[in-house]
Amino acid sequence: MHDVVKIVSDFHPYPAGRYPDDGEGNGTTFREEFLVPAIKDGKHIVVDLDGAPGYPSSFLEEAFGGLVREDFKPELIRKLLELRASQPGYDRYIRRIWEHIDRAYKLKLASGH
Amino acid sequence: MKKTSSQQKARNVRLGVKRFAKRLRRSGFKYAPDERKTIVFPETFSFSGNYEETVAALDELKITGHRFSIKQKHVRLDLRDVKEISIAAILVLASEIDRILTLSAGTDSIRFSAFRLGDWRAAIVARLDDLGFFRLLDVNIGVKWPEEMFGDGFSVVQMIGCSKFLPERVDRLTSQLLQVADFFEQKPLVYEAVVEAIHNTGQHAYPENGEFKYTPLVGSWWVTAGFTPADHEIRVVAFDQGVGIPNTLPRWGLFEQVVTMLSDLSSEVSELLKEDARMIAAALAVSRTSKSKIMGRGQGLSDVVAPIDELGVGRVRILSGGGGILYKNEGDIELLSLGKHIGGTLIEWCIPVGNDQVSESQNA
Repeated sequence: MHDVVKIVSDFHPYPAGRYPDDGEGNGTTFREEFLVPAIKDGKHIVVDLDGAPGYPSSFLEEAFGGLVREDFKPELIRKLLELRASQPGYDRYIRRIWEHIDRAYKLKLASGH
Repeated sequence: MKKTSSQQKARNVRLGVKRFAKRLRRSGFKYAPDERKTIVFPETFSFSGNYEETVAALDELKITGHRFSIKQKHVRLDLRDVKEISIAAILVLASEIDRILTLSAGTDSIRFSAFRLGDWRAAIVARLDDLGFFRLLDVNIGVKWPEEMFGDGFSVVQMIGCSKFLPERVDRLTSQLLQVADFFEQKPLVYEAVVEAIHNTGQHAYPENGEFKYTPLVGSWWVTAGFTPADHEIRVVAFDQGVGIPNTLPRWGLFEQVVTMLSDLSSEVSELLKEDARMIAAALAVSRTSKSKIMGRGQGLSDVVAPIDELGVGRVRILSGGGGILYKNEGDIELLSLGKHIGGTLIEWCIPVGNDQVSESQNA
């Protein structure tokens, strides 16, 4: 059993921005409302990226890279998080999300935290 | 006592003004109902084609619009000489009128008019009308412009102005552009770049302690777009009236890296270190290479040029403060040294769209 979160219908039709000050569709709120609770409970979560006009990188970095800053290891994130995108060209968001997660982890290691 | 009718009240006001004018004349003052200023715009009203005169006309508008006056100001925009006009220049002009009208809202202290509109070139009027410029002047042209009015078939999307970070407005603009230009594949990239640009505006362009020459509309940004079938190219322009990128850099977490990059240059070049163009170019270079050095932040400028990197074609022009850059693709940056301050930051994306796709859409 796993949760499927379609960003445009379950969260916001225009995901963008990093912090709550940036509006309702920000990356921090998405992470805290959907990703963190599922991963904390060890649940498998599917994130469907289709339907949005695009995903600015500040949103992607904060929502997904921010998981590493919340002390989740990339291996655990990879195990529990599944990303889906069937729209033409949207597979690049999946690549970018994993890049953000890996980069955030490298930074975390480099900073010694 | 008999109640005064509204017509009688209006008549009394008119008579009062007349008496006041008469009294002034007797005292040796010449009465003028309002302060008139006519701003003449140059033949080429475009930043790329005629930067100095274009900015000079805009500066004149700002000086007039922001100056305090006890009389009502009447600013007449004279575009009779204008033969060429760019959407970037129109956007900056519209943003300035928007700002002045917003700041004076409710005071009736200023009004703008199109001076001898009948003598303006029809193609210029049509271009301004298509962009929604005349709405600012409360002028309804009410003409359906024939397509042959524009020799190059150029289509534009109405300007959008906003003081909040609202990505849905950007989506509306890019979706409208999609109706005239077939850039379905590039649309998400363009959308993301514009959204990141206006996100940067909200974060950095209007700092609390920033030094502004004219009162800003904090957080405001303006966007428009166009498509030229002849060049198979879409053009999206965003503008803010902030302090400019070079002035925001000292507050940036990566500023030290910018300084290091600039100080690595030769001593001859170091004379030019303060040039805004070099500051913008260095900030972009740091932004593009800093992704592994700071917690995901500081990527704003690299996100702005990302469509060019991803597509491998097109260009982005950034004019900010007294300098600018033309970004063509990875590392290929042309510096633009500008004499006058543009009064904010202007970003213009020029992105080719597929020839085959365009011809198909035209034939459809």
